[in-house]
Parts: sequence; C-alpha cells; structure tokens
Amino acid sequence: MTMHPFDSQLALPGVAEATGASAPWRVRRERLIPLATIAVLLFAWWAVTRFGLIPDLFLPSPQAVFAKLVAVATDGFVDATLWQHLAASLGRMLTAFAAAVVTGVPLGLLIGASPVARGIIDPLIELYRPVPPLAYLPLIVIWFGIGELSKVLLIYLAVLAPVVIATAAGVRGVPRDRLNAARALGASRLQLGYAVILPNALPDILTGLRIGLGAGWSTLVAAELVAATRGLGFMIQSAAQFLVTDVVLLGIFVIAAVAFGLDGLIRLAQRRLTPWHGRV
Amino acid sequence: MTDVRFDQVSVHYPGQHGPVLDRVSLSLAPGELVAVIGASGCGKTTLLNLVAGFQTPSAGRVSVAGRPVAGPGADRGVVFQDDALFPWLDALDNAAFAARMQGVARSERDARARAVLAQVGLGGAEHRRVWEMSGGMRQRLGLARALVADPAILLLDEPFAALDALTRETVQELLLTLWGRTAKTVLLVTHDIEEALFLATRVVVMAPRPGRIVDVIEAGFGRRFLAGEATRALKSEPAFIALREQVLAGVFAREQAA
Repeated sequence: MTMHPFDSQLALPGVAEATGASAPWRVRRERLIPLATIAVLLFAWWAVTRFGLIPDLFLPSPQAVFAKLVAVATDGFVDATLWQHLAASLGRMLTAFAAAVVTGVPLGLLIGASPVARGIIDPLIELYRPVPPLAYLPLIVIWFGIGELSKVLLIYLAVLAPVVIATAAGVRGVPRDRLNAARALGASRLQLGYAVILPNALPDILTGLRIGLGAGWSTLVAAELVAATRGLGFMIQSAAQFLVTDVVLLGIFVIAAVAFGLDGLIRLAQRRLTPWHGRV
Repeated sequence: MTDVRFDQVSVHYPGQHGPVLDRVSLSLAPGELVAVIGASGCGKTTLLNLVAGFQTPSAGRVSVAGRPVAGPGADRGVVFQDDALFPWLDALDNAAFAARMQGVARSERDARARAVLAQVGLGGAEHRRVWEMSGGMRQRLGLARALVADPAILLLDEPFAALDALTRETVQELLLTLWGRTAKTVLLVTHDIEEALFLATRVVVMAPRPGRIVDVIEAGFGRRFLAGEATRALKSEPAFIALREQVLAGVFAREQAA
C-alpha cells in the first residue's frame, strides 16, 4: 500500500504558508514596535531633562546616566566597580536559582505523582508563598545570620515556589491517553516517569523557571538590604541614601538588562527544548 | 493461540446510576476483526479499555489467550482517537517506543521502527515531527507504534474519527492490508456504521443504559477487499447498503424507545 497523495500533500502547505511571503513583514513589525516604544520613551526622557522640566535631582538626563555608567564601570561606587556589584548579585541569583531548580523540580514531580507527598509539601509552599519576602527576612537573619547564606536563601525561597507549583501542574497535566498509550507499549512506572511524564511536563517546568527567575530578581534588592557590601541592590540603596539619582537609575537599568537577558536565555531554551509546545 | 473473551462482564462507576456495562459476554476468535458500534454512553470504549487493561471489571471476567487481564501489556497494541503520540519524539522514536521500553539496543530498535513505518506507508518520514504531520500521517504513526512490539491483539479506539472522508478510506484500506498480512485479532470501536461493516468480520451493536450487546451482524466485506475487490464497489453494493440501513434502523429504533 502506498501513501495516499492527499495525505502527503496535506502535510506541508500549512507549514509553508506560516513561513511564506507575508511572514517577514509580520516578524519585522513585531520587532519594530517594541523598539519604537523604547525610542519614544528615551526621547521623552531626553526632552524633559533637556528643557529643564524636571530638576536633575529627580531625573538626571540620559547622557548623565550613561556617563555615570562609564564612571561606575571604571572607578566604581561605594568601594566596588559596577562589574563587582553585578558579579555579586548575579552570583547570588544563579546560586539560588540553581538550588531551586535542583530541589524544586524533584519536589514538583513528587507532588504531581503522589497524593501523600502533595498533602505534605503543598500546604508548606502555599503558606509561605503569599508572604512578602521582606516579612520573613528578619527571621532568616536571626536564624542564619547576616552572611551570604541568608541572602541566597531569601532568593532561593522566592524562586522555589513557582518552580515547584509549575512542575506539579505539568505532571498532573499529562493527557490520560498519552499515559495509557505508554503503559500499553510496556512502560514500567519508572519508565512512565522519565520517558513520558518528565518530557510532557518540560514546557510547564520551563515556564516555572521563567516565573521563578522573575520572582528571584524582585527579591534581590530585599536580600541585599542586610549587611551587604556589594551587589546591584546594595548599590541602588546606597545611592538612594545620598540622593545620587543617576546611580539609582543606572542600577535599575542594569538589573533590567540582565534580567531580560536571562529571561531570553530561558525563552531560547523553551524554543529549543520544547518546540512542540502549543502546537500539539 | 489468541482469543479475547468477555464472561458476564459488568462495570459500575461509584456514584453513578446503573452499570456502564451490564453482563456482557463476547468472544473474539484468533485473527478475527470485530467492530463495536453504538451510541455514545453504550460502553464500547469501556469494553476496549477492559481488554487493554486500563480498567478492571466490577463483575465477570475478561481474558486474553485464556488468562485474565491484569493491567496493560505489550501483547495488546492500542491506537487512540487523538493519536496520543509523543510530540517530543520524531516519527522514528515514536514508532520505536515499545522497543525502547523493552531495553532493545538503539540500532536494533531503529531497524524495527523503520520496518513498521514502511509498512504503514511512512517510509521516508522517519525524522518528521509529530506536529508537522497531517491527521492521516499521525494515525498511521499511531498504528506503527502499536505494531512495533508485534502484539497478537490490536485495539483501536475510534482511530479514524477525526480524519476527513478521503483520508479515512485510505487508512481503512491500510488497516485491512495490515490485518490480512499479519492475521492479528482486532477489536475496533467506532461510531461509523459504514466503517464497521466495511472492515469487520463481525459487527457488534451495543445500546446504552445499561450498556449491553443488542445485535451481532456477520459481514465479510473486508475479506473481499483483501481478495481484490474495490472499496467503492463494495461500499455501494446493494447488500452493503441493505445491511447499513438495517443496523441504522435498529440503532434509531432503540434511540426512540429510550
């Protein structure tokens, strides 16, 4: 029996159309609009400072902030260069993030797979998750001191919850037919776990990582409130105390750029590792 | 020797009025292709799930080759309505899944997967991704995946329901060709009366509330297709149309009465 001509031809035109003639324009427009938004914002910023509508103390000009970037990168601010601040923050973030992935994904798998594990772990996470990190920061300091451990732990807790919850949701979201298909093909319980449930949950896990990363950045400044001598959050707070607004702005921009870059890395991983997501 | 047997099988769901299946008895001889049709809620998919081992009977006995069914196994291949393929694997790895679960070495299982893909007309599509495939190709792949472990029994749960009419007919012909070549015992669940009559050696008609068998019709059009007769000629033959109308009238009469 040969393949029906209908069949083989039906497969490709849909794909071809999606990447066809109208696509490049659509892609270009989708990229252009956000860039235009940023350009307009920059221009407005430049204009209000150029014509002195807002005093320098509240809003320094874009040129001044850029000049400060160069100055802080070479000469430093509060005893450390921008790169040292950045390295300190990134080190804490990545340590906490890695720890959250290594522990959060297995915890999520466990919750999704076992009602008992769910009964134990779920309430713990649901209880601490809605509490603002600043509220339990003092407790962490009392227990673990003012060193690096407390800072990393605070960020870790912020990242952990979304990773666990998303992983558990991914595990529970496996279609019943897909599980049954694997069982009928002779998969054991263990094989179901790594050959079906894990890859099936991967899109949700990656989404959880993205949300977790965002939560981690939003906790970074809080974490560096306590006895830090380096870090972007620490740099911003020090600058705010002396009303060095350009350094405050600079710190915000650097965090935004780094967070955006890391988020882009995870999005890239999503496209590479789970290209089927949203298509099947 | 393979033989599927239902012995006074009932299935109740807790908290639901009336059984989904009520004392159903049915036997499939080795190499037989039996189609089960009926209105939704008549328990036809439950019947298939019992043989597959996805479900256990509340009463009665379901046995395969003389032994009671205890859970799913690679001796029974299942093809699902919405294909249930693994989108993170390409066509070859989907087809090779059962062999991979058995721990067969990579080169050996790839060779086996290539062979079944060729059998279902997917030769050359080994590295296609699931989402790049048409509905017809995906159902072929579903068949190939179920065939790779060479199960004695093939269970098909409305496998062609989502396909357009032309594609459906070519896949029906493919199924008959494979069945003719391998002599597997096939249990096909469908709501398409024409499909059931065309493919099956016997058509089992079920009715809901409670789910039960109300009629069994002998048909032999599938064998005649394998003997070389044309599909369209068979499906438009007076005997075929008469049987179709007879089954349809029976199902309708019970719908009205219910």
